[in-house]
Amino acid sequence: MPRHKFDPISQKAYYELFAFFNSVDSPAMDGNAKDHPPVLRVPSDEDQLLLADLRARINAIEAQLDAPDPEVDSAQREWRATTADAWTNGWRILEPVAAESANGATLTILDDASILSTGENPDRDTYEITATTDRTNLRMLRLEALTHADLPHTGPGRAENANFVLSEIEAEIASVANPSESKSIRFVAAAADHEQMNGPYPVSAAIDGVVDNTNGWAIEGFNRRENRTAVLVSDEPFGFEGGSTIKVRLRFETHFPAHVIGRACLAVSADPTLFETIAPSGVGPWHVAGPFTADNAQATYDTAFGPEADPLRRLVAIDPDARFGADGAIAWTERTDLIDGTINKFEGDYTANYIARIIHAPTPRKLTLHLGSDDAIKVWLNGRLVHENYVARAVALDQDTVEIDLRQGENVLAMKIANFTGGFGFAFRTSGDSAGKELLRHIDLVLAQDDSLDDDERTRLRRYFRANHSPRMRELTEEFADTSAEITKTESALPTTLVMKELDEPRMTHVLFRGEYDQPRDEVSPRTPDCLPAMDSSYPDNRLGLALWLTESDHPLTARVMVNRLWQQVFGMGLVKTAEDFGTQGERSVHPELLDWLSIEFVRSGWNMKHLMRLMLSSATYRQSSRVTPKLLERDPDNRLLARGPRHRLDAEIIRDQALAASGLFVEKLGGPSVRPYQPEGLWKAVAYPDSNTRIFMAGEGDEHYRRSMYTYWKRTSPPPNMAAFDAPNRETCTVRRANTTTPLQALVLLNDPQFVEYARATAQRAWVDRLSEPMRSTSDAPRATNRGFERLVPNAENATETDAALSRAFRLLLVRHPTDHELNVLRNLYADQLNRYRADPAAADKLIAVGMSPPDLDLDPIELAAMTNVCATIMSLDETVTKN
Amino acid sequence: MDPLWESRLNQTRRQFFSKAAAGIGVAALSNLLTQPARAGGLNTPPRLLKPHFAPKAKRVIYLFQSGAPAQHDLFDHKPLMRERFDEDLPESIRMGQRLTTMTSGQARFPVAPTRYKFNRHGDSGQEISELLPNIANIADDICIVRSMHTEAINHDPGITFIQTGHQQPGRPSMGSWITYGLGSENRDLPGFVVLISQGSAQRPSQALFSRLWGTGFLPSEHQGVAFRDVGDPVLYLSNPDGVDRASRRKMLDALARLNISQLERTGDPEVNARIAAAELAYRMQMSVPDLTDLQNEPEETFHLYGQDAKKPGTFAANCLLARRLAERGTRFIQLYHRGWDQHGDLPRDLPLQCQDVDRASAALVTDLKRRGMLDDTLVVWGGEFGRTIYCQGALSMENYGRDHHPRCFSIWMAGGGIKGGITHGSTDDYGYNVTMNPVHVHDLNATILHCLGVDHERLTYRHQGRDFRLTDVHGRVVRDILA
Repeated sequence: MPRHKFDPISQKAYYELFAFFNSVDSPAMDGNAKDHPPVLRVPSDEDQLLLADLRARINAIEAQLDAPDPEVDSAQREWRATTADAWTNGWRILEPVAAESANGATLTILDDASILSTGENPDRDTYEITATTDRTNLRMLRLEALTHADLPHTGPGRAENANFVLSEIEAEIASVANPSESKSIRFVAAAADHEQMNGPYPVSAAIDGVVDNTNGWAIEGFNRRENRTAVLVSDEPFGFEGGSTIKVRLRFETHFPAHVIGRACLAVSADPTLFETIAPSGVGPWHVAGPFTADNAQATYDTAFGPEADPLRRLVAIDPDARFGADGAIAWTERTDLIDGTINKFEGDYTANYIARIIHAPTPRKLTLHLGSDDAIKVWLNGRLVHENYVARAVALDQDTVEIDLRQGENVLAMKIANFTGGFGFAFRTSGDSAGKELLRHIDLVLAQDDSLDDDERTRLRRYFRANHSPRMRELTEEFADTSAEITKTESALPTTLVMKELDEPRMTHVLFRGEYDQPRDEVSPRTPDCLPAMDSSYPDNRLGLALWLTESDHPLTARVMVNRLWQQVFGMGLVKTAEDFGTQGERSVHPELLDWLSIEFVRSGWNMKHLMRLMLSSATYRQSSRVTPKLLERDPDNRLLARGPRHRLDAEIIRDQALAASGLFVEKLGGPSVRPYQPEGLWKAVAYPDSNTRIFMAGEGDEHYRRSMYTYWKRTSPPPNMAAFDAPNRETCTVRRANTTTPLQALVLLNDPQFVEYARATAQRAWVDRLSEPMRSTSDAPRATNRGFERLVPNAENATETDAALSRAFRLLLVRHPTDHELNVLRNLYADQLNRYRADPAAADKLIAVGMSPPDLDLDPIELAAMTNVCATIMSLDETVTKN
Repeated sequence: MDPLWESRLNQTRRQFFSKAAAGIGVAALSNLLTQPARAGGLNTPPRLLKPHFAPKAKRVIYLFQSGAPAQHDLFDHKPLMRERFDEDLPESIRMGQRLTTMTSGQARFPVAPTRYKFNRHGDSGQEISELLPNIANIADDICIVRSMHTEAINHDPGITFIQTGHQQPGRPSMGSWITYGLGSENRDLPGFVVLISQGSAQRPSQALFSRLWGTGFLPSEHQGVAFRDVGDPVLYLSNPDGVDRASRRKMLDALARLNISQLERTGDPEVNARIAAAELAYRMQMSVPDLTDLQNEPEETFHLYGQDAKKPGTFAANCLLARRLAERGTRFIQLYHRGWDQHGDLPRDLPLQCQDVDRASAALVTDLKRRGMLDDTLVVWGGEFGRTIYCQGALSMENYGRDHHPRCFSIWMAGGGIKGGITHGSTDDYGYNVTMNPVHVHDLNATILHCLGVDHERLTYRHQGRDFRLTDVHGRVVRDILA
């Protein structure tokens, strides 16, 4: 391919170099996260000690948790045997006599009594499975969703991604002897070994009586293609004497197409041990009675309205026939739209609503409630007040935690939410009753023969038993969890740094036709350009190899480019003017031998930047006077031939840092998070997205205003204006050479930016305080050689006053030299003028010296301070102050 | 010496000899003024000492509507679409146009005809929707271009493209090119001013970026200066509390004296530039408040623009400010009104946006006209691309949304050498493709430069070995719309 005259390297070579950077393991979008991976955490020494200690502790606990313990181990064996026995014998598999699909799927009854769905795969379906059983006193139904070779990705769902969403499971039972004797089986609790977490998909959704197009039991089939088990508990025992016919309906009615179970197996159980071990508690739907209104907050909270009014039967039942309120218009209303784990809203000021639900507990047990309310809340269990909180607040999840003791069977949980004014609502969720679910998750391990388990599985089983069934070990497990949480908390507070990381499998790179990302052509591998020395074949073909190649001592570019940049920093312009471009379109070096010599010296010193800086700064070239004559200017306007010392305006950050340093406010601290010194209002808001977290600028506190400018937080779409005014680039692209302009906005910054006004005032304070130690005598006997009326460089000691000393001090703080007599005179006159002005208007003086976060020095006379502040501001704005010369 | 340059120096000379600058030694002053200043500073003369040919417009007011206004509901009347409500967009119309990820997942692309009525307005009979009644009243003054097109399909590249001529950032904005080329007529105010207003639409608006008024590789002094609506319009304009104008003057006198002695010591003419900059800052402290102080504006003005014009930061206030800037010789005035990105709930949000801008846009044109300024002021109104005829999201008779559409959009222009009362270019029945007289964003930019008397192919800047220009290597002046 012919070379384009502007590109010193071919297109292929470009992509070969690009290939080095094309195998980076990180997503294309960073999600606006501060610490998007890959990231390295960088702990301090203290952090490392703390973490080491925590990790040692957790290792010790873990060892204990996993160590053999004769007592616990023997208990485990016993428990295992009992539980496995109860499970194996306690479940009676239902052998279907019929299996019908409502919408045309083919349901086949397999030899193991499971039902396989094949053929037509309708978007929605209902399976009706009929079986008989001779058992009575049945309490639980088990539904297994099983994999099968014929299902997508082996299932267990028939959706493309192997998932399913079971909207509802319903069951009826009829007596074989007397078929007209039948009833529905009402399920009040459910547990499953896995539930999908990213939506309304817990197993309880399959028994909540709500069949709509979104909720139901789903199992994350797109990630986990395994057998799934759910256990459902009925409110009463079922099973007729003389045999029963059971019809079970599995309804799949969500809008997710074909999200049906592919292979199902049902079983029932009457076993009391199994029941006690597995059956979870279950919550019924909420019922609401209200609204009840009062005149004020206290009354709303205190008054025992409607359901609370009856002293004997207060909130012990949810009676659908009960009527409350002045005209008996209020009754308990079932509200299936109130959803746990979310914020539910009501309306009405000074209004209270009662909400209640039944909780079924197969055995007595504890349950933890996590509540939120706006505003106040009272909670009763079976008529007894178990919690109250008289508070005005906005509702959020998990504001109050209440542990309750459920009795066996039906419990009535009632709450009163009392609103004062404004928002009104509640949030509710439970935790702590997961024994059934945990057992289901580990049942395979429990059932397996001990010698068939591998080490991992044995460990899992042991940990499960110890965490759930051994009181002593449970304590240890909790300690493990707490320590683990502390480690996580400490680690997440560690400072991070963003890094690059290679993919395990290198990504293929292609030449892109005309650079268009969707037009890949030939494959290329990482390779350095031919116009530079070849990369050593022993180096790896990745960024490490590239880094090694770049830092070879004889690499023609790296040292020269670096040296040139440092030269640019010191002298204002590089030996190669186009510091960002050493290619054919860049400028050739003005002093090639010097560049070469410095580059070799740089490498020889071990790439030591300080050494190079010292070399340049101590050179005769640098120490030349930057004075320029018209002839010199005509001959060499940009000082390329270096016949004079450098003279160029300082960078934006340096101008501010210098003023900070002179003021004495400078905080030298290194490192830490970015800071936000003062910035005028509304700049970020004008450009930001409405939901951006950098839309409203909030200034930092304390030290944040006085740190080195490089720590200032940088919003690239609206950079700090006082930096931008002095040509600081916005950092959207890499800028090696800054512009160097002179604009009125710069003058405005130096004189009017509150930051600089504060620095001027602090410098004035410092100058006053230190004035008595300001040397006002000539330190050398002879005046400096003068020329054409240049003034003596040391003020005349005889006429010096304290004011002069302060002025001189201020001048020296900023310009690092004594003022000439002429300069001192100008400053004196300005000071005198300002003194008069502020004497005539002392209030103005007070205002001026109050500008800024730091308080003015109260020992100083405000009028003198204000006058001196303006003098200092003038000195700060001098060309000489903002220019290096 | 170059006459333009000389006259500029004379201004500075006058300043220094005025009463305000009493006390500076004459000798020092002549020293000051005979040194040539270096390039890149305040004293750089404009690139073109005079325009390439006689300009019609001396200045531009660009009313940029950020987010992409929906042309089917505003300027491009497609009555046949009413019959096609909810029909799928035919492949013969779409012809493989790439979609954004916001609608590429849609199963259907049903036609969403506009809910709004169009009527013909003025003697010219221009078709404008009922959402813009005031702009409809100035129909005879404006040229509507319906055949605008671009390649960009998302906001950042789209707005960067139409403002800088390239979808990727790094190039100078139009305002920078123009002030670089032509300078400004008022030395006491920035030549390129930016005014931003937030839209009333309820949907969150797209962000802006300060590089949109940046200079790219051109000298930084051509940066746009964004006025703020709270506090000082120009940042750091006001003296701090406790420093009055007289004190400031004394300080600047001292500053000048000290700087001059620095000049004598070092001989560096850059010092001149810094002295001049400080003096200009001082003048801006008068000129900017004079600009933004609406006390001398008669109440009638607010009848014309609406009472919103009294509230800083509104589009109406910015339009009024634009007229005042124009009067004072500012070369390029860039407004941005945010919030036009009606992906959904268009019937809720589009009327709100239109209420923000309709009256003031028309008022600006009317106001310029009656002051005799419309002929030499070019007003441009439009966004970065168009919107789709097909619905984004759920379609109903009452509600719809539109996704981004690069293949055609509408803008209008008035004054400054553009023919009023015409509609240029047309699109197909779906308002999807341009059928006649396409105007690419490069063509628009070439035309704007042409109105200013600048040949877009000859205003260039060498950078990275190449001569860059606003229109890159494209652009044709649209002669049919020139007056």
